[in-house]
Amino acid sequence: MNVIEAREITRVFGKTRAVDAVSLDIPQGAVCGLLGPNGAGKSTLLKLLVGHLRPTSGSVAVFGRSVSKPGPALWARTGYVSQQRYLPGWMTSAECLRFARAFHSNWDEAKVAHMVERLAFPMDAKVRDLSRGHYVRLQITLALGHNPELILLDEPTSGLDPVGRHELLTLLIEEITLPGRTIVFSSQLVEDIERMADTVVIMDTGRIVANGPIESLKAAGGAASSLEQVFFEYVNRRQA
Amino acid sequence: MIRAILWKEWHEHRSRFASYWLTLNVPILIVGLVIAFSKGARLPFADLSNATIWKYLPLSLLESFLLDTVLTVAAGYLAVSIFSHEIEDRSLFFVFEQPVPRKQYVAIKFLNGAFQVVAATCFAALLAPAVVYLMMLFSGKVTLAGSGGAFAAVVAVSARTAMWCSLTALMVFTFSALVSALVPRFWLAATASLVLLALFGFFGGDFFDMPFPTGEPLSVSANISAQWITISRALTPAELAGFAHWKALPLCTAVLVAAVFSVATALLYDRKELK
Repeated sequence: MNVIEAREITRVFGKTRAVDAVSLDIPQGAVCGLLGPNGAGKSTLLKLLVGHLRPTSGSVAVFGRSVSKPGPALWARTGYVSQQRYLPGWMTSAECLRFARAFHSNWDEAKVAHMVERLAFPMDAKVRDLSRGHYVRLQITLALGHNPELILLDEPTSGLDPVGRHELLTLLIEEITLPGRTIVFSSQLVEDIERMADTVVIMDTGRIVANGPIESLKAAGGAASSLEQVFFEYVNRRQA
Repeated sequence: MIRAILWKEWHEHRSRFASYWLTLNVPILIVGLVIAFSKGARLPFADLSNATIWKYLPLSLLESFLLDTVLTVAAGYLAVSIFSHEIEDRSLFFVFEQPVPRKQYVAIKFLNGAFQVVAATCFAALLAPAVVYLMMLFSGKVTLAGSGGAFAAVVAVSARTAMWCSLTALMVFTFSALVSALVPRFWLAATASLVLLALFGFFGGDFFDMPFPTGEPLSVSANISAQWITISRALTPAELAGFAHWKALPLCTAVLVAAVFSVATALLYDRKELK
């Protein structure tokens, strides 16, 4: 069963086609990494998948329902971490978590307490005062607190120090092992994708240039090729 | 869920709500402060008597007039500040990422704002005659028994005008919310609100049933140096009784206009994108 089904979605901003005729099926239980250079359309694609943006053309269905009007049913089963900073600056971390808890009947208090302790972000600090690292940790906790079946993460490790990045990746890998989880995350770091994902979608200038299991893509590139080589090959081929 | 949204609205906008309540009561606060600190301003009160109460107490209705005109801008400002802020900083998407229908969130936000607008307007409209009457009572020559009728008549008019003023403020509030959901700029919402009010005044005629007194001409003049206001004659009880009656058609029209603006805003919120 596919959790995400995108058909020929295009999103145009002015004269720019940020996402261009993308079709994508992501089955339940998959861990899919979106890989691409800056401006490839990864963030736009993730926003289209959660309904934060509407496609100019094409359609997106998540859990079998169109996300043209994202409703409570979608957000009850989805956790999303954006690259943009829009949590209310006047709230403290604790208030953000309390606010989110009020909406989720399946909010996992024990899990959240564990994550807060492990990720060690200040609970009493105002969101506007949080560093990038602490902000991402709070976002991740908010996104995972209700045990969502679908988790979408937009470059969650960008701007984090090596320790923070390691801690976050470890936590996400633990999340992957939980049954029924489907994860889609974008990154510019090939090693992050290789460490976490089982399938990879390579994007460039709004289009999907390669899509498949990591091992298949590597095998197609030759016995000695790494994912990084495969990535450069596809991107260079397209730019040529 | 509703409690959480109300909690967020209160914590995020309580200073704005407080400012709004304060602004509506600024006229009566100024009068109160002048009388408290100026001996000269207190002197005319000593000349008041039960017989002159009918003449001077209706002056407190000036607050209702201000509420229905210049102070409606405050309702517009309140709407812009509570609606445009979360659009500009995109924090509304934090709420949109919770399993709550967008329209339900906007509805709660509207009802909360509308409650503040109506409560603050009614409070201000009724506070003015109450404060003025209390000051008159403290002057010493006015008695409860001798002036109670005048107070009851003025409060009854204030209560009726409170309804009209609330509706005007509500229309401005919802219209400003709609404008700020489109373009979050206060000056634009304020201008649009004033145009809306002017249109209502121009095309509505006696829509709000607040006619000038008929019969013998009534003039009010202020003597700044003597810190007193001279009124040519008292309003008759019949004139007061005929002022600001509730009429079904304009009442329903005003509610309908406010509802249409609210629904339009909800639809705009529904289509908001995180760019």
